[in-house]
Amino acid sequence: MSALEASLSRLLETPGVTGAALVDAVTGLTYCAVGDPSAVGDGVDTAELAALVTDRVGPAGTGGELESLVVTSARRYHVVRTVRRAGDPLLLVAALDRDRTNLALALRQLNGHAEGMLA
Amino acid sequence: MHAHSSATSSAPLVDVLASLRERVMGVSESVLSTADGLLVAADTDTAQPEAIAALAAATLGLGARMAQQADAGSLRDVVIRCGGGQIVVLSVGDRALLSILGDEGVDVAALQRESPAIVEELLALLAADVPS
Amino acid sequence: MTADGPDPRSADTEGDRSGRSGSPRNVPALLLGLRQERFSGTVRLFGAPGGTIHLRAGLIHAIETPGTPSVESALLKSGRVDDESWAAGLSAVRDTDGLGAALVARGSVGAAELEVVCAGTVFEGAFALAVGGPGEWETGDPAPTVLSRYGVEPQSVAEETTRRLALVSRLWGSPAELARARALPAGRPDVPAERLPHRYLGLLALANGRRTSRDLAFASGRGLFGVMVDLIRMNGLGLVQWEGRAPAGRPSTAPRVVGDGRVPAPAPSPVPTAHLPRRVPGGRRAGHTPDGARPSGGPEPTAPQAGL
Repeated sequence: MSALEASLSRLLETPGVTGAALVDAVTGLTYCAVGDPSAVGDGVDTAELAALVTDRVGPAGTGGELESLVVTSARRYHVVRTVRRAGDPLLLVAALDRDRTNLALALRQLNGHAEGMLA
Repeated sequence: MHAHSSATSSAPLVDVLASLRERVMGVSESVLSTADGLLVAADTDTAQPEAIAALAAATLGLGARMAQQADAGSLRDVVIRCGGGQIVVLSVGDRALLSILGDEGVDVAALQRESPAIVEELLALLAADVPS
Repeated sequence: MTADGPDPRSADTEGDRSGRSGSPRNVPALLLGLRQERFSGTVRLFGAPGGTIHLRAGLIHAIETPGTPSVESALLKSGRVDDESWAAGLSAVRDTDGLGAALVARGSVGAAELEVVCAGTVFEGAFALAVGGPGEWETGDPAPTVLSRYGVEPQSVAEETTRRLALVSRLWGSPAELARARALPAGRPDVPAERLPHRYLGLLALANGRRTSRDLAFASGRGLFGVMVDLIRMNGLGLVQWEGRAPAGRPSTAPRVVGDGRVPAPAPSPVPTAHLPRRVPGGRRAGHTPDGARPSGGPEPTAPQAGL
């Protein structure tokens, strides 16, 4: 297992996480995906959504860099967390079952994972 | 940035220098200078043309002496390679020098392919300098 | 590299595996064949630009080309690894196949980070080669370079490259033209700098009307496709424009002026049009226009204009 896969797989230990992926925020390329791929969705679409928010919605508010996005649907949370690094930003994407997830807790753990993602 | 040449208009020379950027991927700037370190024409952005001109003469001079010491035949060019780019200095005829500045991705094959033609074009323009 | 039919010539694979050569359009088919053979070595492409594809057991571990920064360039330019560490890493290994691992062992770069950079660079290299257009190729023995630890399937690379080429064509025009186009800031005083992502600011600082998209990639240590995507987005926001194209991104119909080194004053920017693919309920991507190549020119606000 690659270092990246090992790092990403730790996310699956968070209660409720059904799938996770690391996606290039600029190109939408999926570098790694673990768990249920259909839950996590397409990397290109995720990157486009993040760019749309950054470019169009961000300037209307405080602007600057996007930190995270949460998309809530009937049974699922879809969380996108920007990973800042020297180089183009990445998106840490996680799909969570609403039933099994405390969103605030999951977000905190996700933030923690994002920090140490690329070590 | 255009350099001023005292006697002749440098615009055609600059055009040839600028065309180098179109013909060779990765070339960013170039300077045409005399063998004794004077600026003739330049297509530059951030580099100092006069400084490049002076250094080119010194570089080729040292290169020629090294070639002589190594008994390696006549000098063709000097290539200076750095982490962030490279510089090639070569002769244009026997009185002028061409310094080509590029980033670290310069298309070396294309440069080798295009240099002779560029040198020819520059020589043809410089020949007009010589009073008939 | 678009998917193409199998090349009959790649069928004669017995005997010496290196030293084959052939015609351009069949590079993707060549790579698929080499994958089946589990070929280890190089495929050198000649063209403008050309490049080298490094294979191990038929998987792509690195692509080097003048068209986009290498792994070394990306790591050094971004400051992730400094010159000293790089040199130290080089001296610690007998051949550069192990350079990546050496850098990780020294703590110069994280293992996961290096995987990301290497993978990203493979795709960027393939894109740059595809943009460069056709040329001859030949296979050769393994050559030294920084290899990613995990190779990428040629099929994946071909599919993603096709997608990228199509995206640029749809949003802007010819990818080869965009690679050579020289962007410059278009001046949007109503978007304060602190509201822009860092990488946009980075490109704005470097875009001077002289550097091409490819040059901007090298100057910033970023990939060619990533830079193109950002430039297209920034153009949509009125932040950059290209000489010879109307500010909205259409090719200009004004007569072309022979370059004399001077940059013409930018034309006043209209309301930015929608260049970004828009999400449409049902999932398919919007953005197709009748001519298929570029979005139509009328103003189409897609978001609150406050702040833009």
